Amino acid sequence: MFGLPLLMTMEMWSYGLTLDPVRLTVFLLSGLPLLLGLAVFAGFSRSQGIGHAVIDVFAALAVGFVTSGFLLILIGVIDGTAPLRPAVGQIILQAAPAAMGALLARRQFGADRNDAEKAEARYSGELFLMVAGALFLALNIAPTEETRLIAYRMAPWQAVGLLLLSVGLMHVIVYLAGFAGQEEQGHPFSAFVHFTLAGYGLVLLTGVYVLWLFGALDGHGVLETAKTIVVLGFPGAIGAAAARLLV
Amino acid sequence: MATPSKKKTVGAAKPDAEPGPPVLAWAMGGLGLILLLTCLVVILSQGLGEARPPDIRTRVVEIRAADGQWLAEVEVRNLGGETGAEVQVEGRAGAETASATVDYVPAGGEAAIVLGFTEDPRTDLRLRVAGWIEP
Repeated sequence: MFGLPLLMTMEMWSYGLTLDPVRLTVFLLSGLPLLLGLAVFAGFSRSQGIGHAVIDVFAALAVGFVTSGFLLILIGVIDGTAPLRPAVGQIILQAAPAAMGALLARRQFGADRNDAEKAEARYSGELFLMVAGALFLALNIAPTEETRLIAYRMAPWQAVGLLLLSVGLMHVIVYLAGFAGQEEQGHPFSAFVHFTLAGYGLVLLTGVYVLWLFGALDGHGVLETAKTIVVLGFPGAIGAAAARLLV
Repeated sequence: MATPSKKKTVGAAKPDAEPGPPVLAWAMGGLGLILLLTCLVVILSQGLGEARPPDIRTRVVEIRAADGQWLAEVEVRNLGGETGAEVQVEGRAGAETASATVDYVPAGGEAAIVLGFTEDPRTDLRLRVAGWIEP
């Protein structure tokens, strides 16, 4: 379910063909700790230990690879005529987000969802979930041409407005979602610094990573780079803030 | 330096609350603030002032023979303050004309194209930007 938007995005197919092998490898390898973190922080139960989490990750990856491969063949993106290497690239690009979706779906629909356990999440866990949420939405949006097109069309004041809106919305959602540990922070200012600002910083970094992955910042001047990052930061901020609701 | 007192008030207000790592929290908040301000400063310092339309320049990087024809690699740079879309670059050598279209040449950015010729264009290759659209 989480992989579908990407699966049916044309740009993702062509990135599978054209993406530099180094970036593809970085993508796959950096996905592993992320999935492991998801399995630990958001998985069924932390009492099952890290061993279970590792098994969960590889099971999710297997699900991701098999379903992406199967669906890409079924919708005719991969056919017998293409060489193997681009097809592998296409499947890798789809499999990691699909695996992420598989882990989240298990959490979402799983029977033993425990609210007490949820409240336990530590500060680093909260930050991690924000990165996961930002990454998920950013991955869905960054490959499309619209990301850069919007950045090109925006005047500087519009970019600044979007940035402020991202931070504002993020703060509102963070409050509504009731981040664990928020009450103990007490003071709204420290909550803003600890969750909203910290989270938005991570959203921007996540955006840089995703844009670099797809080569969307190659050959850009510093102004267009900043604008593109801010554009992707908007869905990223929403994703980061809402991640707590979803998981 | 404010950190220890912070810990203390938190602990006093809610004794059974889980003590988060305030140092990490303030550090991450600070990092976020720095990144946010960097974006703001870059956008405001580079972007304000009078609008500068795309200023697109071309430069021949290399001309090489390949598979029975000549390929000219051309670098397209945009020195302006706005992005040009569907930038069409035309190269003439003798009686031949070759052209290529770049999807986007971002403001302050660059792109590379390759033009093909049957005759050696090394002596008389002339480049021109035929046109672009505003994105």
